[in-house]
Amino acid sequence: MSQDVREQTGLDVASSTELQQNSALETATGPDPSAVKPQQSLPPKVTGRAIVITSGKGGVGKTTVTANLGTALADAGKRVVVVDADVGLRNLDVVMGLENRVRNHSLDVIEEHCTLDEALVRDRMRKSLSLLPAAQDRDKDEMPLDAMQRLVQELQARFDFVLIDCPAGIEHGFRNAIVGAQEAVIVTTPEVSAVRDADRVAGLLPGDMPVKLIVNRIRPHLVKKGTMLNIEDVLDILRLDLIGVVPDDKDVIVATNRGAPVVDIAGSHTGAAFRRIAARMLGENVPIPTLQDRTAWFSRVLSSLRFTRSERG
Amino acid sequence: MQIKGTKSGLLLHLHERPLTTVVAKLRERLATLPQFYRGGRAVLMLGEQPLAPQDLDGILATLEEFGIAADGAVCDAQVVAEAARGAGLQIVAASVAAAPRVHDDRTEPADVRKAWHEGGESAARRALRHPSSNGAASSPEAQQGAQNCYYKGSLRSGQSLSAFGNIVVVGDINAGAELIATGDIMVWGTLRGVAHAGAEGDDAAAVYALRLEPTQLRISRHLAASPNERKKASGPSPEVARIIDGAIVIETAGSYPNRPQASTR
Amino acid sequence: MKQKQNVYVVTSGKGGVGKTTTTANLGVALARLGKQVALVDADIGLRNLDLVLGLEKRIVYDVVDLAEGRCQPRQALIKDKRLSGLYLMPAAQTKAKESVSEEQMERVARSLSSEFDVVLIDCPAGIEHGFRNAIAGADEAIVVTMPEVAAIRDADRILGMLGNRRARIVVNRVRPDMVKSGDMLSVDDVAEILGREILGVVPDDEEIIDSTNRGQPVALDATRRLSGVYSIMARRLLGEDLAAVDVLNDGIWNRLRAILVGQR
Repeated sequence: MSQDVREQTGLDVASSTELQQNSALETATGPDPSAVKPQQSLPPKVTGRAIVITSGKGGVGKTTVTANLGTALADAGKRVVVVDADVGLRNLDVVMGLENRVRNHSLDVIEEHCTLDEALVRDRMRKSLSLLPAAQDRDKDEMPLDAMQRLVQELQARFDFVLIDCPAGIEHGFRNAIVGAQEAVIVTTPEVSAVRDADRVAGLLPGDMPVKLIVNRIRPHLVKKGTMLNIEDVLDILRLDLIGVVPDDKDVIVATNRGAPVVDIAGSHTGAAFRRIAARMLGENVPIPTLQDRTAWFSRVLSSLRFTRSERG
Repeated sequence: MQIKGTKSGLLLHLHERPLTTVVAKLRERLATLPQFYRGGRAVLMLGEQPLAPQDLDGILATLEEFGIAADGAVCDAQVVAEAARGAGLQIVAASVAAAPRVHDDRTEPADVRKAWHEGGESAARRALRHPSSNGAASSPEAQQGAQNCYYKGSLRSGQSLSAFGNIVVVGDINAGAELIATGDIMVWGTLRGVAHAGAEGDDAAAVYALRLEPTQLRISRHLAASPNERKKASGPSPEVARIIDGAIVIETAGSYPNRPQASTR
Repeated sequence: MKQKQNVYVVTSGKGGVGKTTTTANLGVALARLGKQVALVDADIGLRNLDLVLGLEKRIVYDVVDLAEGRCQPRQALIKDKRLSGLYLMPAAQTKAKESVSEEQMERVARSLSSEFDVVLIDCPAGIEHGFRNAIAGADEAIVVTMPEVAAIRDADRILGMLGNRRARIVVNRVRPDMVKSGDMLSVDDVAEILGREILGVVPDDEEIIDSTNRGQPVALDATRRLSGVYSIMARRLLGEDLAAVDVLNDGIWNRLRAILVGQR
């Protein structure tokens, strides 16, 4: 019984305790996002978890997180659908390498030009992973909120995880993406603008929605230099439960351009981080490792010198 | 003379002098759509040209005739502010945007609105449900007396809390968030956003915080940005900001040498 | 009197490619060339241009106050104290993008156009109301993109939504090492796909992160590598017939490598 409940709420008390900062200023009040919902509020039928991946700031990695988390969860045996909610500027299909297989999109389903099955795109490699694409040639305000909510509920009946990739911003597209979700993951980078926007978004989510934080694209050597904020600073402002810390890596650009998930790139630290996040979402107690500064200044200079020599030779 | 409509009421630009000449124009404008304006609220933008309190009588009488409540005056000069006060108007400080309003068209945290409602503001509740009849719904009882606001929780960037009275927040005010009070402001937490105390012109108002790291502080008509060199405290370091000799000064809280008794609010 | 055609919207579609950084640094570079420049933050509710410029603490009025008639334009403009000729019109943070209309934004843009040599409007990400507001008063567009599939796709979509406006491209965050190894599109590839003239090319540089966090645009410091890049971009914008920086072969990179080789 308690196992079900843990899966439902993604409770991961151990890892967030590890990071509990000695901050005298933790808010004592306000809804506790990790609170266990009482038994009576669980629906009679076990349905999938609908989670929106959002940020406010663009370019911090929502789509990458959605694609890779979806892939990692599918590898863990779950039935997953990733939903592109960025009508007009869709990118989830490209990141997943499925753009050539897109036939219909979510608006087609809502407007009853096709069935949900006809719009869902099965991943090339993982049978339990599907994509619901967004329209490219339509506008976000053509998607009514109640229709999106019903669509997400229908997906929850078929999948264990419904991951909704939220567009940047806080306008109609954002409201659309959160309307069907019961949980949220906010993605930020350790930079002032991104944290500010993440804070804005956190304030716009429903007060009782469980919210977790991923700090993405960390460059440990920049944190050391003080150029990037450290995790404590980020948490001091955002005061959210941390579910993952992901290092910056050019693997991600390579992976995006190839349409393959970075979790599939062997040896990728970024990929490993996503797998750990997926494990935490499934209730496993996976500690967040201290990121090593693997790229010393010395070795970076060397690599650029190698580049110079090969250019001449 | 210009009448501009905003979500929170009317802005009457009354820069010309003598104001008596404006009264007729005002009546003419309001008479074109009398029912539209009825129940609304207006802020008078009086500019910097001097005037006498009685000059405002005609304006205020006209507004009353059309059922428009005068919310206050924005004055760009001290003499103008004195005249406005003499006519019974409240002074709205620095920018009208800073004026405390019962219901605000800025985004408010959902539980803030709840706290507000629990203070007995059924008028505000109606106004929020029907933003277009915003002005009509605000009732006199919402504006009378001091309404202290005691809020447990933090404000995130973009959220705003305003009160006719004092504000106490048990929580943090993040950068990008705002507190606006006619009285004092006290933050039992870290103040990183903007706080405006004494927003109607009370120079004796103060801002207290466990950690005072604001983007900007405003007290009455004074404004100060915190200097970049201020070290960030690692733990609580209670401080108070108040106006001393015409400037905003920050002191360690807890030591109060004999100061003249401020009015109790 | 004929209207000046000096209002540029800096847009991209994709978030995070560098619109705000480009607006700030291009603005600084133009001011350093002696121009009177107004930067407008159109990202209401998610404002960042003030942070990137380090002017956050001086905001009193914002563009929504101006649009609603609560203040005069000069009260909303913040003069940058570090150089003459650079002004910021900030966005509101505690409001939503629906707080201003396209007509209001257009009026703001046009009134600034007559007072300044150049007006740059920092557009929010996306193609919703905020985007439409930002382009309302613009004569031309500067589309910022990265040599990356998703960014280019969004830039392409944006190009189709700019009407008759002239649009030029800024290719941001180029990594020559990855272009050489074939892991990143080249600037020529980008130009060909988007079919527009390149206004500028900016190499990826960690200094940008530091400068945006601290509110000190790199273009302020003539000794910084990137300052030269933005200076060239500014001069091209003003109509000078200069070649855009070719980051693979240009002098800046060669000089850096020479210095490093010399040290070894």
